[in-house]
Amino acid sequence: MLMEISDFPVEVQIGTLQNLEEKPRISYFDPTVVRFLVTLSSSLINDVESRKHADVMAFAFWIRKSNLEITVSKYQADRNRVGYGMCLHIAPANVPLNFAYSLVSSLLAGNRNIVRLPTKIYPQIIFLIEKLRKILDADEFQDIARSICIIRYEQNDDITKKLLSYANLKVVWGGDSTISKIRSINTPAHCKEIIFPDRKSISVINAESIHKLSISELSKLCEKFYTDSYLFDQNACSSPKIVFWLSGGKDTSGIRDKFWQVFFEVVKTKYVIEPRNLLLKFTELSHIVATSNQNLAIGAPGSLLSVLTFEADTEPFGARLVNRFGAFFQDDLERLEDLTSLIDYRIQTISYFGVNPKRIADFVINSRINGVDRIVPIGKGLDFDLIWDGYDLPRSLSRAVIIN
Amino acid sequence: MLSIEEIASKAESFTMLDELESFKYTLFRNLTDFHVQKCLGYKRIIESFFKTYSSSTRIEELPYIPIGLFKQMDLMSAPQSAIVTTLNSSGTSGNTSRVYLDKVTAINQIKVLTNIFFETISNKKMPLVVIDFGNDVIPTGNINARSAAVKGFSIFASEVHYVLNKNLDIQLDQFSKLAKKFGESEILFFGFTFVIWNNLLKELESNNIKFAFTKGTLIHGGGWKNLESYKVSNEIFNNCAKDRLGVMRVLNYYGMAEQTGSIYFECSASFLHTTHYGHVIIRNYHDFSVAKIGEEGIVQLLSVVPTSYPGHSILTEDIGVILGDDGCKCGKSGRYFKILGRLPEAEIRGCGDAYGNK
Repeated sequence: MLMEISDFPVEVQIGTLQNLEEKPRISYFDPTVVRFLVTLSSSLINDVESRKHADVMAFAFWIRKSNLEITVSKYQADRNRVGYGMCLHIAPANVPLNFAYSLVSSLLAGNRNIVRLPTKIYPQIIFLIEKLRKILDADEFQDIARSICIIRYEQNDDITKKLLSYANLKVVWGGDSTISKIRSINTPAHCKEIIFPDRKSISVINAESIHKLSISELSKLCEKFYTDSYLFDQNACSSPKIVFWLSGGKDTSGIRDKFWQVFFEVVKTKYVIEPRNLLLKFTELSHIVATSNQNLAIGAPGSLLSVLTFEADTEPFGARLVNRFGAFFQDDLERLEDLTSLIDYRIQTISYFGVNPKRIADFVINSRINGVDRIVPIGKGLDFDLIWDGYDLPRSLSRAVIIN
Repeated sequence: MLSIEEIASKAESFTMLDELESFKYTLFRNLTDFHVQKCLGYKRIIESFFKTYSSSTRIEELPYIPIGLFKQMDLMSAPQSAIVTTLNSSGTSGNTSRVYLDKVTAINQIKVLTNIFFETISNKKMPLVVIDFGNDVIPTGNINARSAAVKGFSIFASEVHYVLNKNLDIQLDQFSKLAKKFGESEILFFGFTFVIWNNLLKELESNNIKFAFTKGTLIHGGGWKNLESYKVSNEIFNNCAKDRLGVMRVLNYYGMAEQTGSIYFECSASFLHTTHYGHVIIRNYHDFSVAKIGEEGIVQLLSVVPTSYPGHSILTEDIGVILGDDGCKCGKSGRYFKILGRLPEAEIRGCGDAYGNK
């Protein structure tokens, strides 16, 4: 029985584990789930407290009525789908609200959920949990309340094993080492697995398009690029690590310099880095340059923005992109197709400017490369979508019944 | 490059501060050039971050590398075949830093330590009591920072006594015998700050035992981070040591395993002083620019000792402040400074491991 978990040091934030053992209560794109999310969204948007947290607002907007209606319509034609049952979510450590996106995706798929929160206490999480508690109190949402249990516990394989023994499905958010750790725990054979391993992302910018921008337009673009990269210390899967300048064979150095110059002004007004992390940045970049076979000019070791001009060779570079805290590789790209030999399964997002996304999509699909699951304009790098890392989440988190 | 003896006698000969400064600049400039020639990884780092150092004129403009790099990669400025000892130092973050010593560097560590000791503490040999357990054989090859330090300090000893057993328990009867024999004579105690506090002083305190080594000197260093977590200040430590051991002076020293030998002793006014063989620069937290005198920042340490690995100029993870370039009230000339702690750990945002790394 799941109740036995109470013998372990598990801190239950929402719901009870016992409830989850009852019968399934929600269906695929259940109208009650949608109503619940809309209620949650307006409750968040109308609370001034939410405005303190950009990530809470982003989440609230993602589940607001108009947006959900579009989402629902996309899945409207789906027939004969049903949730797998009990889903265990292992949320990542350093993106506070990621657990909420994971939970919403799974609720829409019609699952009951156990969510393990990061052990670190974030004010956003406390705030959101408080909101959830209130809304889940309402009579009309009792079926939802009985489909959610949110818990927190220190890494403990016994607890995880126990939880997994009840799971029909596990959703494990990355790091590679979390995934292999969870995989090493004995899990029932029927338990399905959705995993989000370490990914890296790149940007492709058309140099000519930058050239045409006024300084204020360029500045706006830089603000967007800042959000994509610096918001999570350039350490999120979707944060760009390299900028490729589509050159068409022309000299782009002047345009590149102008871009970084304007971008640096934006960075200087916004980015605050802990000295310990600035030192770590220096250490990591030193390691990169010391082990590189190219001369990578960087400039001052204590800078908030470091740009490493390199020549992408013909090897996939995903594993080497360990730069973060505001450090970018850059190289010219004569044509998109030159990326073919460089991209591997580690590359998640291409964020673009001045390039037709259809062109990038054609390239990705026709070249049959292993990587790239997202093609988004610069500024939308961190926006969560139900289609993530190649999974169409509501569909991946539910099963299809065939009727002949 | 100059030998340690030449450096000592040259540095001694200067009367003006700027003469000494320009001498030190040339010394470290040459050492930097040397490592650039000998270590490819180091060369790449210098070319990436410090392109303009060749036109520098001041010691502050010379390159430095982050101390954490020795945990991430092997850096050598001597052929592998010349390496006689690998010095391992397990940092607080768990990763081990490795520095590679050839004969010259290993000898220079001892020479420099000896000179600093003679200049600061005493120029005659005296009995040494090591507050640690004894290694029957001083190992070569792979050694840790702790045994390297003990080995270093043993050089000054007329005889060496270890007073802890392998479990780090104090051997009180042995200690009492030493007190009888050396109570009136000059004697040196040496150990790691935390070990002395935890395994000697606290033990003496709880058993209410006092000794009277009236001409004794206690030298301690390293591992003060542990002490901090016990909320023990330098002052409490000093008072307790004087009270329990009856020693006439207690001296803290500061140094890095990555610059073994090149240490900085606390003076009678409780400040650390630079030496002929080393230099200290404080850098601002947010851009590594040079901090002004009196301003807190990140400690950069320079040492003439490392020639077999490029560790002659490193940016540490410690916080410090320079109080003056001269004129310490203890009467010693030269730059004096204080170490204030370590840079606090910082959160890293992004897609981190929730479960795998603990």
